[in-house]
Amino acid sequence: MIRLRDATTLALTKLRTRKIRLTITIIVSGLLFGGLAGASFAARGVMSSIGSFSKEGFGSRYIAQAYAQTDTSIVNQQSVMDRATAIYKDTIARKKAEAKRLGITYDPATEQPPVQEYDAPNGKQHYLNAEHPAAQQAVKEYQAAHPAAGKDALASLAAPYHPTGIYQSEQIPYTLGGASLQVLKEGKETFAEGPGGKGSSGPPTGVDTFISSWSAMSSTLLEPFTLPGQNLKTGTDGSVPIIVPNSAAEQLLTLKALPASATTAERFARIKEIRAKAPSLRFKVCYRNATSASLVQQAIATSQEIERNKKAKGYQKPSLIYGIPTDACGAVPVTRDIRTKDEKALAAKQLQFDQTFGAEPASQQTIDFRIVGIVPDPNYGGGGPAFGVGQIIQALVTSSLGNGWYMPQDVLAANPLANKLFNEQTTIYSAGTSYYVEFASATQAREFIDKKNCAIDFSKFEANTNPQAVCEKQGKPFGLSPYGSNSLALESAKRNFGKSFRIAGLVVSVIAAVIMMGTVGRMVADSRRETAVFRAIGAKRLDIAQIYIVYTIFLSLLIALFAILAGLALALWANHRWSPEITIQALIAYNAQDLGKTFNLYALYIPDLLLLVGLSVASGLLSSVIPLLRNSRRNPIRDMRDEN
Amino acid sequence: MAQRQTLASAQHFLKLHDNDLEAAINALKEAAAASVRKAGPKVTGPVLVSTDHLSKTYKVGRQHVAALKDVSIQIHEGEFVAFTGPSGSGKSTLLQLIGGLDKPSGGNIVVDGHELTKLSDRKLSVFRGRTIGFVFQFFYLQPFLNLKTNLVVPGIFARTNRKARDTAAEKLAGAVGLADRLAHLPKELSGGQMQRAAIARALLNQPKLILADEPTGNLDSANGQAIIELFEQVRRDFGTTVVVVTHDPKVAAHADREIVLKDGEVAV
Repeated sequence: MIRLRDATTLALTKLRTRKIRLTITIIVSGLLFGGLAGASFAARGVMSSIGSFSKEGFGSRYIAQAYAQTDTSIVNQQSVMDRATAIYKDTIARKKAEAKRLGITYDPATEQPPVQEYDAPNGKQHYLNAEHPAAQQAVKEYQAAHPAAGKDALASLAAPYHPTGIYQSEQIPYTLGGASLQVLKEGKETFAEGPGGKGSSGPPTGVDTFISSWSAMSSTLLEPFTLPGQNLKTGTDGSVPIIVPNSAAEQLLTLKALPASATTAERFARIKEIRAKAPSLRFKVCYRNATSASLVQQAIATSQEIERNKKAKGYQKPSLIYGIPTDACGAVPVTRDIRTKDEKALAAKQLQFDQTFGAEPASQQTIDFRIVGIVPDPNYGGGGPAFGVGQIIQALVTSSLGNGWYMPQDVLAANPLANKLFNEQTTIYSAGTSYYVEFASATQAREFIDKKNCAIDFSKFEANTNPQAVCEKQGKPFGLSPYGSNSLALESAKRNFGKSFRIAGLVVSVIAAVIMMGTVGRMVADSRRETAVFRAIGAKRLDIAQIYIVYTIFLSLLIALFAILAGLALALWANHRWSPEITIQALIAYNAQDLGKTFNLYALYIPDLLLLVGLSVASGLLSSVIPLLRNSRRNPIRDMRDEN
Repeated sequence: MAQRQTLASAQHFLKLHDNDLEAAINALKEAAAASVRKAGPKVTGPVLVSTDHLSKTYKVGRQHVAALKDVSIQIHEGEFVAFTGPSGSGKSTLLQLIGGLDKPSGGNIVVDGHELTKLSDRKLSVFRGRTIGFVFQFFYLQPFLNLKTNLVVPGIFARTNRKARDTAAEKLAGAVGLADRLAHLPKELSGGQMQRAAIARALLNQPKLILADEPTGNLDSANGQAIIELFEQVRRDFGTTVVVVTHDPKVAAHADREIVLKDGEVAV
């Protein structure tokens, strides 16, 4: 063996020959390894950024969400339908008797039965109309007899995995039996589209999402999402603390929504503005019970009728007219009442009749809220630019409560109206109660979900199959999934990336070795005369091999250098292209308190790069084996003679 | 006249020992070798190179071609010997066998006490590096190394002391008139300069034997003459034995002895 320095001197001369071929080899192999390097820079950057953002929100907490499986087959169950029909018939009978007693007209034909009929290929089928009061009564009785699993059942199910906390949340029921909830914008109630604003096209946005996504949740889960200086206690002014969607806060601050073409900088500035102004902002929500909401609808309809008939000859206005409330969430006023004494007496009897069968007197009330936190909207930016990578990353960085309005559960006790609404479980499909189990480690959370989840493939279910019964029979009464953060997915992503990187590295190395073999083989063949001369002046076979091995290592190092630079360029380009967008996603998703944080798509992870250099050198050495073996068998004299 | 006398004595020897043909042929060859000894410095040193019934056969296709047949010669230390003969006569083959670059098909070679046929490939490399200095017709300098580095290459393979070999390279460059060209690349040198550099390279490890294959074959007559004078000087200054394969009668004329080969045999 010759000295390394001397071998280097001789090997370096070979890098100065066949430059075009050498350059192509470096570029092609370098791009192959560059892909790996780029993947490392980007993936490690994403993981590192997530790690940095994870210190806030739920990022580093391991929480499983649990839904008790409920019996969705109730609507098809004959016993429930029979019970509903019986309740209905009894009510009709009572109504008839009451109408007779009060001396008013009652026509049972105006009533809808709780069991509906429809035609199916196999004959007439029946189902329960879940909105019908009799059906709801029958369902309640059934559910009382077959309660879904609750917090205690979850606690014992999770016990072997040592949970650190079990929490729960309630969501406002889908329907409020005709009642309405409306967030007052600038303190005003709007009626154009009817109370609740549910008539608009497309999915509701901003404050209109309130009625469908108002939740009460354990304070422990809400704390990471409160903005600096805010707390989750009922205010001295009675205001209820609430975390609101970004676009709702924007509307409540009367900021005009940014256009879809808004730049990243503009959107970032908007977020800052919202974060700065929204905390402690008060707003009111108007609740109208079914009777009040109905009177408002009646007032709107009457006003429209009068408007339509303004010029019609002989049109007579109704004798009783309700006006649209002038005060926000005020009572519905009577603007005209020219009814006769008999008409009034009849109306009084009708009211008595209605109230006997459940109708409440008209009532409306406001609840005062106070913004203490912001969460992202389902589609942040209200139709902002679509960016594929950004969306993927957004999915990856999810670390939030979800997209909704969240108030602490413990304020319900001090707020009878809210308490009543949340406990008015009116339909079998209500999202109802969710539970959350927190664990100290990803392993425990992952094992709990993997082993205790009752996975139901609804596509394979018959309509009358009862998921609750199926899951309870398995001893797994809950549907379980990771919640609030991607920490579980991240843990496995980190593990899997390392593994995938090594596998991809090996594949790339073999391909690169084949490419390099061509170059090294050519180099060895081109240098046969030189080899012969070196052998003549004292070089041993091993010395010659050493020179080529050093040459190959240099070639490999050049390839690795090119690869790292190419990968870095790729990652920096991706970072330049997507980082600003993703930073905004991440700032919102993680509810980051430090808005100066950036989400970088590149990070230097030395072990990956060392592995890459190692793989490049290994593929270089692999590529030199065959040419060197072939070369060592050659007769240098013949090579020298052939050259002449 | 002297040649005729020698031949006569050989014929006499043949008559005396007609049963020993081999010995007779050897005697003839020795006589032939002696016959071409030229005037020059008297060579009295011990034998440095000795070949004994040396033969080399190449396989060309299905045929075996004898490049050398039963060659037995001796070269003394300090001698300047020229191998001459027509193309294909085996002179370069003989040079390569003496230099340990190739293995003979038969016979034996001893150079400086080393029986080459018994040396391993590794030991042969060491032998070449320390005992032999090769000079080629086409110089064979590394085009991407400067002159100085080209000169030290034999030292690299012999793992000699770095400083010592650098100093030796500079001295040798001076000796061959290239002291001011050490930093130059071969392409910046003329043919004559390149061959002088190749000779300096051959001398780096202070070999006992210089083997030069057509050293002037690629040079004009002036440069060829200079190279021959350089060999003379090398022999004089370093006491190095010089063996040259040449077609050039002027080169042969400078040698102490000319060994003429024909059809793989030493010509009588």
